[in-house]
Amino acid sequence: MESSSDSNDRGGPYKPNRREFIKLMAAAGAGSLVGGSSQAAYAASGMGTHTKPFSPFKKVHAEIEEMYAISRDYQRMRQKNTVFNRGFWDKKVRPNFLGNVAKKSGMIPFPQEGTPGYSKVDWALHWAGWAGHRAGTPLMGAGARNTGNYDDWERHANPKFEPYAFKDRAEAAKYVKRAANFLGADLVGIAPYDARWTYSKWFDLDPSIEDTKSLEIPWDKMKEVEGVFPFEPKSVIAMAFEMDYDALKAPGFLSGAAAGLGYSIMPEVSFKVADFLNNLGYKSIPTGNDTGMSIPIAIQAGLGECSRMGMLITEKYGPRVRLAKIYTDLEMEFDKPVSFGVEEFCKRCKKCTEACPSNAISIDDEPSATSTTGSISSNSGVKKWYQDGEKCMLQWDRNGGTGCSFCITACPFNKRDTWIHDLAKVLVGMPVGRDIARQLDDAFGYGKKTDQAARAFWDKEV
Amino acid sequence: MSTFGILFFLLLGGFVFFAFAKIMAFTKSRKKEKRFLAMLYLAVLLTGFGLAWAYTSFLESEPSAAYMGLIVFGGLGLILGGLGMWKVTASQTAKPDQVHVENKSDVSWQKGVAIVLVLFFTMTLPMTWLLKSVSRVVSDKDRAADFLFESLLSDRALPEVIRKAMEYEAWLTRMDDPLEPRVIKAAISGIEPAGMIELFDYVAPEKERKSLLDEVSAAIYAWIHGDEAYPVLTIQTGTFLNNLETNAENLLPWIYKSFPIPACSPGQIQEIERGDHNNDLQKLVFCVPPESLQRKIAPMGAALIREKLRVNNSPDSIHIGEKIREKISGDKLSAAKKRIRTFFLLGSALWLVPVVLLAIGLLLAARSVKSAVAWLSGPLIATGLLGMVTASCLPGLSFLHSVPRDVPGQIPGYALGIGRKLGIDLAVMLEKAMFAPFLLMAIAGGLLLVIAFRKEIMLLTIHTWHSFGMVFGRQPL
Ligand code: SF4
Ligand code: SF4
Repeated sequence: MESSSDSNDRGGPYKPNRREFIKLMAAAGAGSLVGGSSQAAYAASGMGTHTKPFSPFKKVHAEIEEMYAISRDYQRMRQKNTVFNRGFWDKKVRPNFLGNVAKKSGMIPFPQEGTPGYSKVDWALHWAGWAGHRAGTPLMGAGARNTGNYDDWERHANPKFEPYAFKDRAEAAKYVKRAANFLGADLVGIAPYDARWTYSKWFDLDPSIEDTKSLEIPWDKMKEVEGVFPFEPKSVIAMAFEMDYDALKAPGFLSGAAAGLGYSIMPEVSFKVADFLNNLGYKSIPTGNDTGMSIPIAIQAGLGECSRMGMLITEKYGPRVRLAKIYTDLEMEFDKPVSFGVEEFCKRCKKCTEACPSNAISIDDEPSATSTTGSISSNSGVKKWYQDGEKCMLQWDRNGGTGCSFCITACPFNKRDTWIHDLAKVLVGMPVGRDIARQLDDAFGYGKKTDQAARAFWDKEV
Repeated sequence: MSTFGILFFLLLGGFVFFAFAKIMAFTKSRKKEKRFLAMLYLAVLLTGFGLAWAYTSFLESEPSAAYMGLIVFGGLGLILGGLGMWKVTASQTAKPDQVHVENKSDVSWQKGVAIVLVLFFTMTLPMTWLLKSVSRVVSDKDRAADFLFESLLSDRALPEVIRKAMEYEAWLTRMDDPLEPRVIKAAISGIEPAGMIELFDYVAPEKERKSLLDEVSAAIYAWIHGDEAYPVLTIQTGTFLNNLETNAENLLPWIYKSFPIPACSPGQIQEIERGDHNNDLQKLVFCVPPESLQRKIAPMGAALIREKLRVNNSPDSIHIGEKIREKISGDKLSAAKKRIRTFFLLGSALWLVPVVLLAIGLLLAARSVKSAVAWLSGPLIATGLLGMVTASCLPGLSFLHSVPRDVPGQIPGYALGIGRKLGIDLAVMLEKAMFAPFLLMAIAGGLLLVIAFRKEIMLLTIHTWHSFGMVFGRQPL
């Protein structure tokens, strides 16, 4: 987090203030050319629209094992052990659960006028971002199955219509992906159902609770249940939702708003996609953070690679996404896992490790097959870097449950999809280039949460 | 794309196209200087790239990437362009009968030494200048006091300092640390800036903080420049205790106002009215009573605070020199004093070394006023750009922002937070102090370059004008 003093008199990015503008002009001697840029120009320039990302070193793999060594004795994870779920039962995590300490001190919410990212308007936006999640399925973010109006496993598993006959699996995939994209998913991929990623036991809300919309649901109403699908899933549709770049660059409530918006969209879109499948006569179950692990499924669906910070890194948005998935009995053509240099880059980069306030991200050069965190929330058996969810949760407690996302912001893959970063992708594909790209990323000032970004967020022309 | 964007990239394309056309024309007539012509091509490409980078980065809301792109790519382009132009035009104007008849090996060793000195100047001036800027702030009593006041103790800075201190305190807590201090810290970091300033006004208003800081800095600088082994400094804490006593009645209402304490229930109100709080201040701040009751219990709270102050029996003054004497030996302190003095001296004078070396380099290499101007222009542009890059990087230095992994146990979190705040403010100040002089150097270098090669530039402009004329069908001049 940066202080206001480090950027105190810099203006917003779309309208650089005088000092910055003079610096820029003076440095270039090209004042008349570069002035007057606007958000309208950005939007109109085609940046940020749905185009295929430039991928010079993309490799398609036959299966996930080609990318990550997965142990033969890999054990499925109990959902109860995920750090979010432990907030419901584990005394070690519970006091730190989502800003619980701050809540106890009455400090949630704690808007501070004059502090960028923490003002009343930032606070208001934060809660507005979360509003859809709160109203629709308030415990989904914490790992519970969708609740309220979004909880309709009964109906989704028993469609009223006869299955529509697609010409072949490729056609089925084409229609489903386009529909998911139309209904709100920024990235869509299809993976075969792989039981390894389904939680061995689910941790769910006691069905006897009626008022599922209330945030006051007693915590002891979460129960561990035997994980049984109401049908045999054949495919899993993985979807990624982009989080706002500008909001994530800002500290405090604003970056929390970006995450919240993602959480509000996740249940809504997956519910709609499940409905689309139901209308075609196929069984489907929309899920968020529940039922199974989203990241390996997204990797199998070709959405991206795993990273040092533990998040999925997509080609287009980097780690700046939220994930949801739909299990269905519709058989479709599967996407293949892809790699584009993330693991190799992560070995040298470690920007997220440096940025993480709670030292939750591994500093080891190489990934390892067993967890290095000593926490039950890390499930060993896959060769990767293990992030310490307990420490991460502690940070969420410290900042009053407004989220954190320093790691996402710091990551060099977290960029807008523009030509200058396409050039960096070329560097990422080469061994020496990785170090250069990492150093340039720092030198050019990317990846920091700044007070200036909070001001720029609100100054953006609409 | 927006009209502005289209216009921008069209102009950029035009610039690159005509520059290339011009260089091609050169290539045809002077086949021998291909190396330098290639430099010119590269210079055009880099400059164009820098401009396109900056434009796109601004659209991406990444202003620092925008001007870094300009400085790095554009700067490199300018240097290469300047160098290429110089070489091409020099060989173009040099005729065989004008070649110096002096001993060739003399010229080459002098030039060799001059190049080394000039490079040394270019590379070291930004760092030595940075040192000079730091020493300028810390070696001057008034400047240092002003900086510390603005960064730490002024009304403007205080809330931010407290927030940073609490933030780092929080970062250094562990999962199994006790809950209560964490709750208190969370509560403190939630106080509104105005509330923090109000509290400090009750204990040490801005004016008093300023005069305290002036006193402290006067004593420290007197110690640095004098012969005393220990600083002679006594802080009159009595003033602040008096302030606290005088304003004690405001403290209870301040607590009610500043912390999100829940309102008292009817039962709690009755307890307070009955005086069941048993002279326990904590019980009085457990809930917020109605305003009428607050007015009634404020004197009660004040009496309790005054009582606490009496029991604590805090001293009216603290002799800092004596305290230091108890902890650090005179020898150690004298050695530290010597080091500080050396730093002040080196810091203020070191930048002269590269300047003197540059002067020697010029004396060795320059054969005429024109060549002196040409020799001076390159290093000035290069060091100017390097200085601007260095200055721009200062506030973003990652050690000022990234979270430390292994902090020694004896460093408290709040000290780290306050230190970081000071560091960031200093970096921002140094950025401002460095950017302008180096910008001026780069501009001066550019002007000298124009003066040295005015004929060639004129020629280039006329040729370009001719090319425009041919393409757009207008009569050239
Ligand atoms: S969210 Fe914050 S605390 Fe958690 S891993 Fe990322 S940077 Fe670290
Ligand atoms: S910040 Fe660097 S190390 Fe961390 S996930 Fe991103 S690329 Fe990998």
